[in-house]
Amino acid sequence: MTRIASVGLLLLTAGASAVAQARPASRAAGASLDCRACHTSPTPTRNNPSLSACPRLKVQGYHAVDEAPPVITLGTPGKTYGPVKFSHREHAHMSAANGCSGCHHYDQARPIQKCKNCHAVSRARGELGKPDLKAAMHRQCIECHREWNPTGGCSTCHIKEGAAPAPARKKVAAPERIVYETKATQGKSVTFFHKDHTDRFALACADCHVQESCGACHDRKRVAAAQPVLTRQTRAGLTEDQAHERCANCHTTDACGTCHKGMPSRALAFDHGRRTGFTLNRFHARLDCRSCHKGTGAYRSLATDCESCHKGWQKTFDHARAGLQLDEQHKDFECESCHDDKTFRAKPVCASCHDDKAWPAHKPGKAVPRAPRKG
Amino acid sequence: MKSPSRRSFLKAGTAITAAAAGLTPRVAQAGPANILSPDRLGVLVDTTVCIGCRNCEWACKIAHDMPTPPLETYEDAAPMQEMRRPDETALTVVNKYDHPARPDLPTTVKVQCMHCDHPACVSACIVGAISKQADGAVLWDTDMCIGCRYCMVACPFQIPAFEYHKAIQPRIMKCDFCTDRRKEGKLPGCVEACPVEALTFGPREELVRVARDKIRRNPDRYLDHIYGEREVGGTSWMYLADRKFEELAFPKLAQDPAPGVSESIQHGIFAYFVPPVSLYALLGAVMWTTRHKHDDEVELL
Amino acid sequence: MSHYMRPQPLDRKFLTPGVIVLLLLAANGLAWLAGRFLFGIGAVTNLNNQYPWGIWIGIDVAAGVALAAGGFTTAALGHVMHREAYHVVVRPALLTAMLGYTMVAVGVSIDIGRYYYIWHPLIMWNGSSALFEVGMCVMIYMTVLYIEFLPIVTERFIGRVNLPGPLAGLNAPVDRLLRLLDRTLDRTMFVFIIMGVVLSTLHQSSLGTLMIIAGPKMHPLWQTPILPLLFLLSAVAVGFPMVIFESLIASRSFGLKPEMPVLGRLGRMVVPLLGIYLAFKLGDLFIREAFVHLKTVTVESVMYVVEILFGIVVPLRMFMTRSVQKSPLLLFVAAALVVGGVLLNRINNFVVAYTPPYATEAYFPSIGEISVTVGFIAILVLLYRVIVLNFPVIGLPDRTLMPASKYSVRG
Repeated sequence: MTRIASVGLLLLTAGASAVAQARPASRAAGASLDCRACHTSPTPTRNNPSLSACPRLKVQGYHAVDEAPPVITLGTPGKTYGPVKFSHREHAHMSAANGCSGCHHYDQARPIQKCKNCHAVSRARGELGKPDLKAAMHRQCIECHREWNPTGGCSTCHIKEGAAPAPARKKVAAPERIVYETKATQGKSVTFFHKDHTDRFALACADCHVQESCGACHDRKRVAAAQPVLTRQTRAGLTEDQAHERCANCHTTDACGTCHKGMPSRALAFDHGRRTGFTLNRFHARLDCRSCHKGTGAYRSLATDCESCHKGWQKTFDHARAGLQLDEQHKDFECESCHDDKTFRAKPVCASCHDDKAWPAHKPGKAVPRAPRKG
Repeated sequence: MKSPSRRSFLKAGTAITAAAAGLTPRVAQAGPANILSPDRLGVLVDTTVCIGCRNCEWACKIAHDMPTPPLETYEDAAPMQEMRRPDETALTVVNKYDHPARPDLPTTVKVQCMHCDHPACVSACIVGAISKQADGAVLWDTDMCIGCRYCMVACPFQIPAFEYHKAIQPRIMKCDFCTDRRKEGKLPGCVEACPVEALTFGPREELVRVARDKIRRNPDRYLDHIYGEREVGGTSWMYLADRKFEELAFPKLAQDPAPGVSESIQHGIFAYFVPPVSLYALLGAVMWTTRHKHDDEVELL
Repeated sequence: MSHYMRPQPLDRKFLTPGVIVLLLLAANGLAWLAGRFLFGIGAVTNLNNQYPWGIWIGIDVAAGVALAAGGFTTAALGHVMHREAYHVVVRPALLTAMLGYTMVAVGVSIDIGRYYYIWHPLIMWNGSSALFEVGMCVMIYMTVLYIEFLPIVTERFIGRVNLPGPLAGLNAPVDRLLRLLDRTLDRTMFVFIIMGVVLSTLHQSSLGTLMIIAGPKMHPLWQTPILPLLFLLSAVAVGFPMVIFESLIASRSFGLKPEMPVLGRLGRMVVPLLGIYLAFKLGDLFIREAFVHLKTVTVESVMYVVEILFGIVVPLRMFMTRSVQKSPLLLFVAAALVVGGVLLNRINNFVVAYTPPYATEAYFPSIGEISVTVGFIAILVLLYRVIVLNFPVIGLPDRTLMPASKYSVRG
């Protein structure tokens, strides 16, 4: 009996100490915090913690964006306006929202705090330094929503029971092209063919437009006006290097004339494979752009099958040029019987006829030296 | 100090009328006595937060039982196209001012009685119908008011409005700091309605601290000036903004209390009632000394 | 000369063409006034939340008080300083003041929104309010004026009480009462006379204090801490010109010989009074450096220049001239200029100078406001006529006392 009791006591003590240890451990997560981030006095007490108003530190939360709850219903404010179905995860994905910390501004690298942990639910309260819950939420939402839709009213978010949801944002009208006015002394204006870039390279808006205000695009009037984005960027404090970086990601060139008209130009160092998904083989790489992209003006994307440029080539093609003399059985087959991708880059398929053979162990002929290139 | 002697004189002077009517003079409690409590309340308006939703306008009308269209109609920003002033039908209004850096997002400013710490209207009111309360509110008493509109002349913020189209019992209309609501433990209507808490209600001294703190933390966001902290000796309602207050149509006012000059003149003329009594004595003396003089200068002309 | 002049009721017809015009103006004013009482102030006036005070305050009240200043200035001259020669103008000036203040009182009560609460200041006091002081002083002074006028009433009726019909039995007691009143007043009148002068000094100046509280809402050409002093000085300066103005009009209207010797001397006395006023006005303008506002041509700057030039400078120069002092016409013009100047000054102070920060449109008096003000003035003139026709106010040469030769020599 005594033994059992003492074991129990031992277990209890162990449990308690485990809990006791767990607490300091969880505190240790925030140990790197500066006390003065929260306390105005160096000697805060329990009765007078001398808490400062929210310091709005920008700290990085450690949560993946996809951990965010998909939708949160924010409580009904009154008779006039319905509750808000807040697409929380979608917002977390928005580049402008800057991840979690865009809104959870006081998230000290710990589990994300609920808004009401800091923001009082009641407006009548003692601590006036920070807004109450309702105001804090409104401010977070309205700051962006108002910027991209200044005329949007309460019903943008507060959808009444049964009413159709208002379009959350306006459709973006991508501009045809944009002329950037730069500070360069020579070649001041840079024409950017916006639509060509997005169409040809299948770019999503956010691939380039990162960390920008939603309102910069989600408003027809502004986009139609096609204000030089670059000046807006330089106004926004971007350095020249940062402004160049946007284009230089693809245009790996140091020739100013590539973009700035009237300045010395060199051949484009354009990474065709990376930007278009069609890597130029060594033959194609030697060609002038206009050999394939005919005509003048903007470069249009082309179909990637060989036939679209090399019309009727299959009829006269000598397979030996590719380093394989086809044997009698295979000589007269259609190309597509073995090559089922249009660019003839994937390995040939034997399985459509043979159960027991596979490239490259079995070859439909004899390997020969590749023919030397002409010209 | 000046009051007893002056009042006793006036009492004697009005004996003919007042005493005959059998009425005991009731001296206004509104006098200039310093009743400012350190706990007096106020509101801090942060114009950088205000979104111009005009919910405060609606809430004000509801709080004062004034006719109003439903709340949804206030989402229409069209009335803000032109500059409005509080009047007898609306005790508070929101005006908008174009922002130089953001044409789409104007600065919006709520206007109402500032509830001065040294109100010109209280000093001016002929019958003391307007009074400064210990809690900061400046209130108007319908039972005393005679409708002379001197408060409107005196107010440096041009706030009191008058019901010009009422033949009987026209009222002076202005923000009453929702005194009735606050007695029930509620917040002022506008403060409660503000969705973004651009209006912070609390003890004035605390609000000054909060405002200072905001400016200190966000020097880029705010102009280093709390409008109403010192203007005309301080007001219960105070404002923060990101640009000069003159650009937001706030009057540029000195720090002296608005009634200061006027009151010191009044008190100077009646200092211990010496000047009028001296004048009386002087005239009496002249009358006595010249009593036998029969001038005939006219004859000699 | 006054030794031979005795105030007596004038023996004239009441109705003349001029009186009929006045009656029409009065009726028109009363009609508009009825609108004010039925539908509120807003229905008749152009007043609004930007301009709470208009000409009913600027003219009826402020100018009314100023132009009634003849009452206390002549009382000070005639009674306090015992310059008996001027007694001939004391009674008409007293009557003008009494009627003027009556108009002020009526003017105030129609302008305030709750005219039935006009008695509130008697029992609800706000010592810091300039308006309260003005209100109290005006009420007391008006009472004093009525008391000062009482001897004229007793003089009229003593020995002539003739109550109609069944009341005839009361004739003797009423007569005894009047005689008692007359004797009492005779002994105590000096108290009221001095009181009247003191009260006038007080509220003429506090009328100036009224607008000081408007602070920056008032145009800097007029807004000055010495406004009360300027108001007092201008009231003192306008007192005699008003007496001259009114006396000459009365002489003309009743076909009497103008009291030129007395009026001329009064005119001479105006010179230092008007000079002091001008000195303070200009000194204030320069000390405050407000003259910079005269550089641009605005309504305010023009009105200010007109007020100074035609209201003070020109008449001042005229009064200094001997020929003006002797010519009824020139004297009248000079007096009228001063009266007009002070009238303009009060309108300027209360209406023109008042520039509220959020005014969307300027104030100009409505037809209703003008009609009521004109109507009041018409009623005032009519009352004046009624009273001088029935009471001994205007001095006439008493043939029983006056040696004809002496009069004709000086005429």
